[in-house]
Amino acid sequence: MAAHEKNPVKHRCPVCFGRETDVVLCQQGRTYYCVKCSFRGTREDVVGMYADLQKKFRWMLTRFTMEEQRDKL
Amino acid sequence: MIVNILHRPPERAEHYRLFRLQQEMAHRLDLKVTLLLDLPAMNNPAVMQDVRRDSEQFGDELGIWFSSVGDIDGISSKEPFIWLHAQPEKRRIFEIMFRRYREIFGRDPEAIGSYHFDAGCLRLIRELCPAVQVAVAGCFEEGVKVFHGCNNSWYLFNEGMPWGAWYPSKTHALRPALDEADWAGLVAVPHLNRDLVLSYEGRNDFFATHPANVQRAMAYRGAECPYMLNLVDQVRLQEAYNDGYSYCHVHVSAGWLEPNHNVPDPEAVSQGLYQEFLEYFGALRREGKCTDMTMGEFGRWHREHIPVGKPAVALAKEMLYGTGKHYVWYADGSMRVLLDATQGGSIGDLRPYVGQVAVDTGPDTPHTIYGSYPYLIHSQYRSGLAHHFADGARTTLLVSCRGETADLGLCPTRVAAVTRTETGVQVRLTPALVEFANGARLAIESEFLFAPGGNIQIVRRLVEISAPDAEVRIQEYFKGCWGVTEYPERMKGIQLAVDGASSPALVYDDQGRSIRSAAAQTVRARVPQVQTEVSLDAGAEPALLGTATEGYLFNPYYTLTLEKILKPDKEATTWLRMKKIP
Repeated sequence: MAAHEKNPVKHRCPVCFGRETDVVLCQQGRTYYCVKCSFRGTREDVVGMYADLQKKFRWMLTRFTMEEQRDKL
Repeated sequence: MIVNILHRPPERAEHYRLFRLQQEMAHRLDLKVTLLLDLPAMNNPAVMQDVRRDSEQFGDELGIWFSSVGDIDGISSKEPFIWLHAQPEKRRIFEIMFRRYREIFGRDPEAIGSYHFDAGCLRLIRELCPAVQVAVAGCFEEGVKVFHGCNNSWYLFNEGMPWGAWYPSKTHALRPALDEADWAGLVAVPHLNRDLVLSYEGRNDFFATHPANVQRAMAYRGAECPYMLNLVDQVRLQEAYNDGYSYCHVHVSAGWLEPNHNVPDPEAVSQGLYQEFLEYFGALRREGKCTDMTMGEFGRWHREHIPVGKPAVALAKEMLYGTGKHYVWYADGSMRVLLDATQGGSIGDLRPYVGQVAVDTGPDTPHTIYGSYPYLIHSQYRSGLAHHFADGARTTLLVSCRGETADLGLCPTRVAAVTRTETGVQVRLTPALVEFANGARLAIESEFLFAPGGNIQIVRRLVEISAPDAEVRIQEYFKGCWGVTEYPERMKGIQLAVDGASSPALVYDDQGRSIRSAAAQTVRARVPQVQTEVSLDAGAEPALLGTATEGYLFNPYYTLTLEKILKPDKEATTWLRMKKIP
């Protein structure tokens, strides 16, 4: 087993991440909770909130070459 | 574009395979690599065998990386980073690590690095190892936002520095040297390039030439991460404004190539993105658009091609959120300025290097952790446009017509042109459209000339007016403060003055008082805390009115204004000047 496989996947609190703060969630059974704020939820809740946060990056999957940055943006 | 690719043997043994993978990726692409070695690496024979082979076989440059220095035998403080040690401890750390390097390699290193070297470190490097040509010496705009982002636990305050390579001054490592006499004697490079839009608005460690930083920001999906390549092209874009030169710094530590608490992706994703990132440099090189160098080679190149004191300029266009908003950065030995085109050309960040504030960090200094160069304006930390009570630090133009006043800060523009001239760097914005409730409509073009010595010429032109008979009054507006973090500092003792038909003056005492004069030539604030006088100068013709206003504790700023009439056939010129005071 590779070293990284010994570590369970960790998630950052989506509420704190929305404020650009990294706080690793604690886990209790299937529930995740944050020690910095009052977030509590399942893995599905966490992943869903991440997807919501990513909506702000409207051009996240758009490639802008140097020429396009110079001429189009 | 010139690229430096840095790797370093990891602190954790379980990451060693990832370090070797990074090396393999770079060597397969025939990219030049600089390896920076910490003391545990230098003391590990197996690691030394590998890196010597890399050096002999692929030409990798071998230098020193100064981290985990609190673990060195004989160093009493547990501080992991050298810039936070007391000066005698900094000396001991340098002596130990330079000695070890010489024992192993029989020569001095040309390249070294740390997330930051303060001025105290630079003096010691010059004294103890003058062969050092180049050093990783700072992280552009790393400070308050990253401190918060790391849950208030990352004590690196490096704000107010250049975004590219620079010649550090002797008294403040992040201030570019004015001239050869002021220069600390080596070329400094930033740890990574940062997005020149988003590292002002947000965390610099989310938006950097470091694929895993972009993963940390969640600005990608699966294995698709075009933004990391967009960012490289943002760096390349700067060639257009810097005589064909731009510099890219890639430095990803091995641990980012496997899952961690900030990037939980499978390692195949992280490794694939790093591979794709390096391949892009290989492709650019094949097309003749990029030159890979080792750090030492770059240090010598920079010394030969870029004179001390040459201004740097950057045009940054937002390319992640989908706004395309424009910012312009300018830096020379006297000032660093950020123009926010979306706020009509307001200055959003102003560092008065001209004051030559001296800063060493460490427990034996008054600055402790705060290595940043202080600002006079920071509109992100200090309000900028009014949110609920009053506005904060910023510049703007207030425009009055038929009894109404508009704020150019609310009139979005874009950068129309950035030009280097014999007198400085000129930035012209697209005209700002100003609409009044009374029906009047104006278009005002702004042009800025960044000139040596801490001088900014601001030219306003009325290029369109719907009511030609209406009088248009403009007020150049500077609202300043000083600080290094988001919190206000003590303002007492700042001296405000107006020079005009009369010459009133006051000393700041948090009372909210105002002074004014007709026929004003200058309005001034002497800020002894940053050894700087900042003024608005009316130029060839005095202003109708000049004012200087003291703030109070709930509004801790000083405000300088000059009022003029703007006519269609005559541009209005004002100078924003900064000079050193004792």
